[in-house]
Formats: sequence, structure tokens, C-alpha cells
Amino acid sequence: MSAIITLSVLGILVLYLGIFNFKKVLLPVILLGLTVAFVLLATNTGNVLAADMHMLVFDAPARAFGCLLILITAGVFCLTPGNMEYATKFRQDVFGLMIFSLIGGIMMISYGNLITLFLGIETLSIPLYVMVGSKRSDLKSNEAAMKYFLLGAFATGFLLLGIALIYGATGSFDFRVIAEQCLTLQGNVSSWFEIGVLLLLIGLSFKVSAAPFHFWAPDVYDGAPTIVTTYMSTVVKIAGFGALVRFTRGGFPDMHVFGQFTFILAILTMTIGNFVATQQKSIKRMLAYSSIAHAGYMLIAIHCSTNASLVNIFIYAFAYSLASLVMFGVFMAIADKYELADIDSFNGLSKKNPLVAICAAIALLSMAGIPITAGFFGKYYIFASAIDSNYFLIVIIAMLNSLVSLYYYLKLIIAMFFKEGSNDVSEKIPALHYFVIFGCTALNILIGLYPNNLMMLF
Amino acid sequence: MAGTTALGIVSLPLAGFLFSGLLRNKLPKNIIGAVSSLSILGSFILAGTLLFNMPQNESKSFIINYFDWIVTDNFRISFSLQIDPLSELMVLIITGIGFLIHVYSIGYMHEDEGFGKFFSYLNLFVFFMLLLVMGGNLLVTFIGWEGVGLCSFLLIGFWYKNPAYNAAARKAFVMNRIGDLGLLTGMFLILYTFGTLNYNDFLGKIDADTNAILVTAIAICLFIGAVGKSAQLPLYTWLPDAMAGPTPVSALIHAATMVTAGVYLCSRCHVLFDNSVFAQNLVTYIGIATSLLAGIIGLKQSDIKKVLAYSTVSQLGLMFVAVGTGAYGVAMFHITTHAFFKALLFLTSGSVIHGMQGEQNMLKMGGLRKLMPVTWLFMLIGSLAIAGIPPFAGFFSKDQILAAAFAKSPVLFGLAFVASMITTFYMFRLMFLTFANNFRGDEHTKEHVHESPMVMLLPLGVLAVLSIIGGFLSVPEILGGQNKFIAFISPVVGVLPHHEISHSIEMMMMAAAVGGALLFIGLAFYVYRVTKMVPTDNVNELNPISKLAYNKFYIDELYDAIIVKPIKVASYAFYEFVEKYVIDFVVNTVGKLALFVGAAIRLLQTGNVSFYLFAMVISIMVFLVLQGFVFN
Amino acid sequence: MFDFLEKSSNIPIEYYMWLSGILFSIGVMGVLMRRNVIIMLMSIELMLNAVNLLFIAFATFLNDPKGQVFVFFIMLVAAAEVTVGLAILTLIYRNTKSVDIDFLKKLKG
Repeated sequence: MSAIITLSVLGILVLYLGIFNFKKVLLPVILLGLTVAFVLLATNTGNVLAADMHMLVFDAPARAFGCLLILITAGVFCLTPGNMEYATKFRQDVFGLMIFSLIGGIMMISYGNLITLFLGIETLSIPLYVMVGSKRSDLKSNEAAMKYFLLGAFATGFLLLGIALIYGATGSFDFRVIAEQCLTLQGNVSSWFEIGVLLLLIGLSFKVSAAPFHFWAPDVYDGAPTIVTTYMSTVVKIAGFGALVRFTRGGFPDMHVFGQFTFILAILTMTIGNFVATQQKSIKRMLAYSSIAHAGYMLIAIHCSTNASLVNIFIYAFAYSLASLVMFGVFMAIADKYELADIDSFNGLSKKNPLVAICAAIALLSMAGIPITAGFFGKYYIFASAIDSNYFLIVIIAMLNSLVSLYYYLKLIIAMFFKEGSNDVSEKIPALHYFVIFGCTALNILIGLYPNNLMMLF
Repeated sequence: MAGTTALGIVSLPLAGFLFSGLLRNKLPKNIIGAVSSLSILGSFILAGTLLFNMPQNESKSFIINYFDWIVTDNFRISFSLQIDPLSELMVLIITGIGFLIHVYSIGYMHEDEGFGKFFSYLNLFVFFMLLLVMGGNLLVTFIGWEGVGLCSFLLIGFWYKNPAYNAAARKAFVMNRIGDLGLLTGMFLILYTFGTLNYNDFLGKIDADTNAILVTAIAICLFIGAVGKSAQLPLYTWLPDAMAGPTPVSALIHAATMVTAGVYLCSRCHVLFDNSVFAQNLVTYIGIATSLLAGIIGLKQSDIKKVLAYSTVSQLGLMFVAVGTGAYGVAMFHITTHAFFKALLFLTSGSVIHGMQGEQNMLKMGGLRKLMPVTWLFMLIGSLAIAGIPPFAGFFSKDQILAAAFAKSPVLFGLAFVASMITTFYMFRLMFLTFANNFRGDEHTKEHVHESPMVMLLPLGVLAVLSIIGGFLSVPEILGGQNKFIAFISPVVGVLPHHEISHSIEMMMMAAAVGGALLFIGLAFYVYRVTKMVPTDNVNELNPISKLAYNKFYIDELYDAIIVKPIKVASYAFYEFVEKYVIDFVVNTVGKLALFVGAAIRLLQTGNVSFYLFAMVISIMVFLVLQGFVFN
Repeated sequence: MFDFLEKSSNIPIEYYMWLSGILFSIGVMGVLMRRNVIIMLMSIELMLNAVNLLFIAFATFLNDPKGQVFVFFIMLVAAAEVTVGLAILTLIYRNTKSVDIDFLKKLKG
């Protein structure tokens, strides 16, 4: 809880620093604040707010997911130098909004009550609508913001309807009470309770861009300023899955009622994401579809809901976020700055900047799930526990999908290593950028070598 | 303490490899050579200190587990090294002879542009070889096993610009892979049967009650691995071709160390063979057959290194005879003495080749004794040692092999005796053709023939001394010795089988062997020195049997006809029809289909918000209907 | 006054659910059918208010104040959302001089 308070104070402080034009100290203050929040969250063992009320529960999974969110947000902030110039005037606004959005994310992964879940989702989303549109003169950014806003608000309506129905059936927002009722009724639940849960799941699926509720994602990722896209494809996705897995594991240990729903969702998401990604020429859109595909893999863990689902999703999200940070970082450093978006803009990177090219290649291989990267273990654990629970079909489909995904990941690697670059812009990459790219790559490999250590967090 | 020492022994060559590999283009050749050699010398010294601190427990061994490597529910494999008399002996041979050959190579390779690369490979080889012999379980050994195969491949093809050399390297690699498959199968069988790969664990579980068929199968699998690595029938043909590599490589890898790994493995796992008569017999027959066949081929070769190569195959055959008769200690003893004199022979032949500007054909040599007196002397010592003339090293070890063969069956003794006589004859044929009479090459070459530099002669000297006195490590009891060497390693490989041969018979055997050897030396002297006969290179003038031997019994051609050609034809057919028309078609179609599906789904992403909203509502309704009416 | 409450609690809960369901559907249809973003925003408000009605009804039915508290949160969030939405719309209007949603088709594929 103290972490959330710290972050709120930090957000306000950042806004004020912006008003009084202390641009130089902005980033250090933010990173310091995030560090403090991280430490507070990591060492938080008691539920300060509402031990009785059960509003926010900082149990081990919540702490792990929360620390991950803060860590990745810090990574995103480190990528801002050089990528926020388009919005120099409003830079502090976006910074502040990002921190407020992070608070929403932390609420989403620590809620113990449907009220806090709802507030978390909205606290996460509303700043995001603004952030997506923060490139004000760019019509693409405006359009993305409008699409995201309309669809998001629309989905919120369904989410709320779901919560209302659950409330009506159980008479409580408290998760423990709902779960208890669910257990005692054992299949004799009223039909509107079922509809409510389904609508709530749909609302959350929208947030994690699961097909067929994914339509906003490619357009919004494409139109938003790339730094915001980075934030969305990492932090928002982790928070969404954190909430989803908390919902399915915490509230409904027996998820078989909704098994078919998640099954269809997972398969559609993987397939649509991977197949359409093969068709993309713009890197940003390709990464957007790839992020949809990754949501599909994580949905497998939601589908075969076991005790390992939490940790499996955590590892997968961790690996995916690290790789995403690297890819977006590289993309921003060498292409986005020059208003390039095509895959061709990666051509010949290995000659110009071999270290960065290698890092990008490792990130791509991690996304594709090639061993000794973290991404491999992310996939491995999810597939293994699915097979353990006898979900063979979905794993086979996921494997085929992984094959398809190799096609477009390799396309980028080929561009970097085997094609001649045409533009001879000598990229000057800020030091913090390098720090993120190398740090994430190192962490990625480290997790790939010692995946078991992450398990201890749970 | 011992753990650190063992780690030091293994890691010094690795450090040397990294040093010379990374800095090979930056530092002068002499420094690279010196550092590489010193790293091996360091290992040798460390191994020497271990010799005085050998474990005192009953099995004389200790195993150091460094870290857990593969851990599953069912088994646990750690990275472990084992120090016992057997591995200690091999380590001393590898590092000792390895050091001498490194020093020799500084002179031999001095003009070569790949000097640094050569030394880094050589160091890497020593590293893997040490892993092989010091591994505390089969997996560590296997890593070394594959590693030395790799280094052998790299070094045979060292002069990679020559396609024939590359072909030789490839052949060695492929033949070794066949053997490796056997070894791997054996490992899986062991893991499956005993649940562990630790030598001490699974060997300890084998006794007369263990399933005999399984033990035989495992033993044969390991032996197949040994056949590949140690160049026995039917996988021996790579070794003569491997002479394409630089001569120090032939001496170190293809004479003294790597090719004996098969014998080492069989001795290490001797319990398997002890419990399987069938496997023992198989080893014996393969060994003696290889020994004879290689010897006969060696009689007719004119390339000085090829003769030595066939001689190595033949000697390895004799070692397997010792293994097959259960005399593992004798086999290890012969490995040791063979390492001394065969390294000496190879290096002196290298010295000859060096002096002859790279000429390897003996028919173009002759009369070199006056031009290269020191080399001549050293090679003579090596030849006497391999011929088994007392008191040279070969006498003691070969004699014990013959005794072990006799104990098994007189016929086996007879065959081994013949093989050893053949060895004597072709070695002295080599001596006389090379050094006696007059020079047969052209004048230009003759002018340049010179004695090798000191840096090459010094290691030769050391090896020569070892070839003379090496046999005294283990003087058999019948000659008043105590067989100290064999006693040293018997805690690991077991005591020699007790055989009922009276002293008089043994003495007679010894006399026959020495007498026969002298007789054949005399014969060679008569044929090649007195009558000055020079074998012809013209195949048509040979009688049929000589022709057969000259052409190596057409074994290579046979393999080519029954294995290589059919595979090539089949692969061509597969490429032309299956690959091009079936697989390509399927793969391309699937790929195109995937892209088509992607393009089709992509059309849904219209960019129109109304459509997105509509799709969302439809999806929600579909899910609600499904949830309400279908799923429940 | 009390008499009124008495009577209203006699209305079965299903009626409220039907009412809010219909309101919600009207909102959904409004979002789907209209092209004017302002009207779409209003329709979304209608959806949220339908849910509010449902909450209030359930709260009364269950005799539990928590549902009513939630309504305040929803109102708050709806206000914030509309603010942001209108701000974005203003941006778009500045750039395109239109509030028609069908103009936004630059991003696709």
C-alpha cells in the first residue's frame, strides 16, 4: 500500500516539477521514486489497507507482479530520452500520467475486491487514452486515442454489467465471499452469475487484447507515440494478465465452466496474432500483432488453470516484456527517430552497430521461444503444465503457431544481419538507451540460464 | 586439495587454448609456442605432484564432484573428475608426451602461417583428452570423447586448402561418429539399466547375477565406440588417411593418445567385459584380425607415414588382444610403451620429412644416415623398441601380450606372433629404405637435406631415452622384476588373470619372439640393404598378393561401393524426386497457405471503429449464446 | 414516504433487471448505429447508467449499501472518461473539422 501512496505522491510531484520547468531533475526523481516504490512493495508483507476489508491484498504473487510492473515501467522511462521531443511541452504530463497509470496497474494485480479491480482498470486506462493521443498534431495519434477510448469505454460498460450481475447473484464485491459462494453452490449458480463472470472476463480480455476483442490493439499500437506503445505492450499487458489470472485462480479455482470460452479465446488470439503478423511491413504493427500472439500463449495458462498458472504467466510476461523493451528500444533508436517504420529500416544493423543487433536478435529469439533465452522457458513452462493437465490440442496449435511466428521474427533477423543497409545515418544512441537494451538482454539470458530462481518469488 | 589440482590439470590446457586462440595473430610465434607448451608442462607437473599423493583407500581412487550438471527426478549427473592410478597414468602420458610434441612442433611448424591456430587446436585437444580420461562418469568422458574427435577433425584438415586432406578429415569424423553412436547407445543402456553414469556406481552393480544379455549388449556398444576411436576393423580406414595432418598431430593424436582412448575405455569398464565371455572373444578376434591385416598392408606401403599409421593400427590390435584376454594391465602397459616409441617414430619421420622438404615417399629417400645421423639413431631406437628387442621398451610389453595370448590359446599366440614378426619386418624395411644405400631423390632435394634444429631433436632425445628404459617400469617376474607398473594400476583394472604357464615355456616364448625379431631384421637387411632392392611403385609389376596388400585389400573401395555409393545414389534420388516434388511442394504450399490466411484475416482489420464495435458486440453475443445453450 | 419504499420493494427484482437490460441495449445500439462521436459518448453514458440502475436495484434488493457506493465510483469514472473523450474529440475536430467517426480510417491492416 505504501508503494501506491509513494507512486501517487511521485505522480503529483512530477506534474509540479513539470509546471515549474525542472526538466533536468525529472527523470532522476522518477527513477528514484520508482526505486523507493519497488523496495516498499518488495518488502511489504502486511496488508496495511483493509486486512479486514480485503480491498487490496499484497500477497506473494501481487508483490511479484507489482515489482515487475515497476521494473518494466522504469525501463520504459529510461527509454524516454530522445524519444519524447515531439511533446517537449507536455513531457511532464505524459510522465505523470504514466505513473498514475502504473498505480492502476498495481491495483489490478493486487485487488481483493471487485471495486478495486474496476478502479484499477480505469486508473490504468484513462491516463492511457490521453497518452496515446499525446502527439497532438498527428492525426494518427488522435485517431488511435479516439479508437482506444471509444472501444475502451464501451468495454467498460460490459465489464460493469458483469460486476453488477455478480454482485446481484452473490451480494458482495468481496472476492473471498464470491469464491466461497461459488464453492458452496457448486454448479447451482444462477445463470446471471455466469453471465456476469463471462462479461467480466470479456472486459479483461479486451484489456489484454485477446481476439476477438483485439481489434483496437494494432491500430492503437501503431498510432500511439512509440514510447507509449512500449508502455502499453509491456506494462498494460502484464497488469491485464495479472488481473485475469488473479481472477481465475483466486476467485474461481474451478474454471471449467468457462473452459470453452478461454479455449476459443486462446486459439483465436494466437492464430490471428501470428498469422497477420506475417503480413506486416511496419515494425510497429508487426510487434503489435506479435504482442497479440503472446497474449494467446498466456491465455493457455489461463485456460488450463492450475496452481502453476500464476508463476507460468509471471515468467512468460517477464520474458516477453524484456524482449519487447529491447525491440522497441532498438526500433526507437534507429528507425522511429527518423520517421522510418518499415522492416527495411533494420537492414544492415549488424554492420553499423553489431552489439545492438545481437541484442535485438536475442530478443527476437526469446520471443520466438528459442532455448537459453527466457522466452523459451516462458513457453516451456506453459506448454508443459498444459500437457500435464491433458490439454494436448491447444499445445499442438500453440506449437504450430510458434513455427509461424519464426517466419516474421527471422525476417527481422535476416534484415539485420544479411541485408545491406541503405541509409548511412550514424545513430547516436543515448547511454540510458544502451543501458536498457543491454540490461534487458542480460536479464533475459540470465533467466534463460536459471529459470528456477524466479519460481522462488511465489 | 586434490580437487583443485585435478581442476588445474584440466583447465591449464584450456587456458592455453584461449590464450593462443585469441592472441594468435597478435603475439610472435615463439611466445605462442612457449605459452602453449608451458601450459601442458604445468599440467604435467601438477599430475606429477598427484602421483605422490595418490589416494590411499582400497580402490585407490577419489572422485571430485564439482557441481550438479543434469538433475532430474530419476537421476543426477554431476560434473565430476576421477583420480585413480588409471587416469593418473593416462594424464601423465598425455601431458608428458603432449609437452614434448608441443616443443617439437615449435620447430616443425615454424614456417607455417597457421602456427597460432595449430597450437590452440593442440591445446584444446589436450584439454578434451584430459576430460576423457579424468571424467568421473561416462558423460564427462563422452564430452572429452567428442571433443578429441572434433580436434582430430580440425587438425587432420589443418591444411584445409587441400581438398584431399579435407576429405580425410571428413572421413575420420564420419567413421568416428559411427563408433560414437555405439558409445551413446551404450550410455543410454547403462543409464536405463543402472540409473547412473558414474563409473564406480554402475560398475559396482555388475556381477555374475546381472542380466548377461544386457551386460554383453552394453559391452559391445562400448566396444563399438572403441573400435571407431581406436581404428579397429571394420572402422580402421580413417587412421591411415588421417596422416594428412601435420606430423606432430599424427604423433600425439593418432599414435600416442587419442587412438588409445578405446583401449582406455574398455579397461575402465573392464567389469563389463569380465562378465561377458562373448564380448571378450569378440574383442580378441577383432584385435588380432586388425593387427594382422594392418600389418600385411603396412608391408607394401611406400609412404613413410602410412607405414607408421598401419603399424599403429596393428599395435592397437595387439592391445585389444590383451584387453580380450583380460590382461588390462598389460594393455595399459603397452599403451605406455607404445606412446613412447610410436611418438618417437612419428617425430623422427617428421624430422625426415622436414629434412626432405615435405617428401614422404620412401622410394625417393635412401642414404639419409649420413645426412641426418641423429635422426637415424633415434629412429633406430624406436624401431628396435617396436620390434621387441631387449632391453628396449617394446620388448617387455609385447612379451606380456604374447604370454596373455598364449594363456588363452596357442593359436592366438601364433597369430599374435606372426603379427609381431610382420611389424619387425616392415619397420626395418622402412629403416633401410630411408637411411641405407644411396640417395634416390633428385640433386636439388639432396642439397637441402639437413639435420633438424635442436628444438626438434631435444624432445626426440627424451622420447628415445624413454623408449630405451620405459620397459623397465614393469619387468615381468620371470625376469626377476616385480611388474611394478601393472601392480600400480591393478586396483583399477584388476589383477592379471592367473595362467598356468611354466617358466620354461614362457622363456621359450620370449626367446622365440626375440629370435624371430632378429631373424626378420636380418631378412630386411638382406633384402633392402644387401641386394639393394627397391620396391616398385608400378602396380602392374606386383604379384597378385602384393598388389592386394599395396591396394590395402581394396577395403576403401569396398566401403565406397557398398556404403558410400548407394547412399549417394539414394540421396540424389531423394533430392531429385522426394525433396523437389513432394517436400518442397508441401512446405511451400503450407507456407503460402499460412501467408494467405494471414492476408485474409488482415482484411478484418478495416480501420473502421464502427466495425470494431460491431465485431465486439457480435462476439459477446456469440459467447453468451454459447455459454447459455451449448457449453452447459 | 415509507409507504412508497414499501411498495417499491414489492416490485420483483427481475423488473429492474429487464429495465436496465433494455436501457443497456439501447445504449449499445446507439454506439453501434450512430456515427457522431458525441452521440456515441452519450450512448456509452446510457450504458453506464443502466448499470448504475442495476446496482441500485440490487443494493436495495439485497439490503446492502455497498452497491450504492459502487454507483458513486462509476459516476466518478464516467465523468473522468467523458472528460478525456471530449478532449480527444476536440483534438480530432481541430485536425479534421468533423466529429464523424467514419473519418478515422488512417490506421488499418
